[in-house]
Amino acid sequence: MDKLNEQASSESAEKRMTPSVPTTDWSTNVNQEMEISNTNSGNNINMNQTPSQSGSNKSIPATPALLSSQSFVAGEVALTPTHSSFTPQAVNPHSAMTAITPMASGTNQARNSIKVQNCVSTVHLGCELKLLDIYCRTRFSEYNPARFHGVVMKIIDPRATALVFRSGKVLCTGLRNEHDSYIAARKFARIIHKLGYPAKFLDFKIQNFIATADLRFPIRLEALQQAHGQFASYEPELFPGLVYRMVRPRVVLLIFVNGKIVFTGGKTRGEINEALDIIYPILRSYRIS
Amino acid sequence: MANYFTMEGTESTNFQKEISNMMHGFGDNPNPNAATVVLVESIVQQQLKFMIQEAHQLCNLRCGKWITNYDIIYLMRKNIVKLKRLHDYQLKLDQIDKKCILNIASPAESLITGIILEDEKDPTIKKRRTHIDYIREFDEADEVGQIKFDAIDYLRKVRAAKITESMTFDKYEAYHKARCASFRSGYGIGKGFAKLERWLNPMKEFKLSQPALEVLCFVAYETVAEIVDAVFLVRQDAKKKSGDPFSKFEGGYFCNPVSLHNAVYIKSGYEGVPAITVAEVREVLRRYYTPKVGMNGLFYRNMSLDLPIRYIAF
Repeated sequence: MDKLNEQASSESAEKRMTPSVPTTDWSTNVNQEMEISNTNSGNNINMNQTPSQSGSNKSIPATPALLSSQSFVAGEVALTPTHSSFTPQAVNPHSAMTAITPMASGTNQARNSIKVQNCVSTVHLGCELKLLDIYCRTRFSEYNPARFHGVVMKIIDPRATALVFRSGKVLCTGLRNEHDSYIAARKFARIIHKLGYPAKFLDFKIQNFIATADLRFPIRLEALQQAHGQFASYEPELFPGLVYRMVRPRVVLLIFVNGKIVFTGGKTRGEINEALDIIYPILRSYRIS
Repeated sequence: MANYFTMEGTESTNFQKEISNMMHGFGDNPNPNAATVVLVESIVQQQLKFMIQEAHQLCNLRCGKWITNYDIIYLMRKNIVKLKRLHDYQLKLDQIDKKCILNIASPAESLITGIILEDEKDPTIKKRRTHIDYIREFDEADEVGQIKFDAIDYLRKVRAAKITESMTFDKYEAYHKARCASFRSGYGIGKGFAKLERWLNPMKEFKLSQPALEVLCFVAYETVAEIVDAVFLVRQDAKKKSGDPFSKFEGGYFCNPVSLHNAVYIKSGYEGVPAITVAEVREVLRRYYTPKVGMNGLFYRNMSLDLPIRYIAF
């Protein structure tokens, strides 16, 4: 039983690792790991009492290769019933598990409410571009040199907007995650390549994440402004939110009275997470009871 | 009362709602006295109209077509503290524009400008504000640069923090909305001055440039703030008992910096603040316009016998 769990989890852990675009884990798995060890011990006891399960246990050594590549066991992966090697068991394993409801702490709730709204990336095509030519030969593009010195190009799938500059730099925006942003940037590069420019795809970089989060409690902005005067600026007659410039990580937060936060300037999801972890206890102390 | 003070009869545009919100935001009762609001509105309007007229003369002197922010900042040149405040005001506005319009925060700014450098134009700011340039021009001794601490701003913020200390959420929300009031037409990117211009210049007899309106907007807000600040000072004076050395520590009106140090004595009473009355505003004006020393003082011979024009905002 123990091994079965391990096998299943290692297999699905491998599956997990396949996507090429790096994504950071949004949550730490400390609580859930504890949960696993609990259920395992529970199962072991159960196994001693019911010998009928040993039959199912024997099927495991058939796949030793997977067992050797044992890696970090992510908690919720081991618990999902959807993994491929599901073997029928005499006793419903769910009955043996002790249910542990995860603590719905405020930080976790706030973390789960983080939603990336926009993701700005840049890429260098490595060649000089003739903007007017590009504008004339592409659909859904705008070029008005008097207003803005770049072609504004749009594609539909994924829905994205790019600013293309003469130097060959492309700024790609309007995507919800880094993967889509990458795909969109590649598509723009391909379009320009097809127009006959020797476009390459050099140093793609995510420049800015714009994310929102909801803390679900109102905040006393005046008091926060008083206490954090060197980071915060709050001018309600100009802008209704408080602008909090965090130094490390270098993220700017717009904090509103109703507990909503907008993060800008973060280069990775990790930075935004970190910023929320730092700001949460601070804002917690300025909540309106 | 209202008829006496409102200038040319009835005008469709007024800022009464905004001004009453602003007064609430500065620490007045949540429901400011209606007569006071009308009075304050007429004061602000009158002040701004005088200002525009004077700026118009200046503008004629330098053969300009439009009244620009140059002329209005020139009027402000004597008051260094207010120049400093205007200086900061521009900085804040620029920051906010950068954030809100392109949704690109300052850390990413280096990158954006890096990309756009070859294009020699920053798209983040459509038209650059020039207030700071003019302030530098007038301020030859760099006195504005010497000011590192904006005491007025600090006091107002302390007062706001004290007021909100013990508010419930409903009241805080109302207070926050009130604080968001300004002489601009609305929120968002297209913050216009159309209403302000209609209010000050309904017949379009003066040509006011957009930067000039921005400065006027600042000045108007500052005027309301100064009046309310002064009312609190007047109240504090009224409470003072002669011969009692501790009376200055009694505070209660959030204004005296000395009393602010003894935070224990400050009642963060918000409900208890009585609405500012007309009489109090008049007392404030009397104090502003009573010549004491200097140019309008007792020993100053006023050759042309004209009334001294002073602006409350600077």
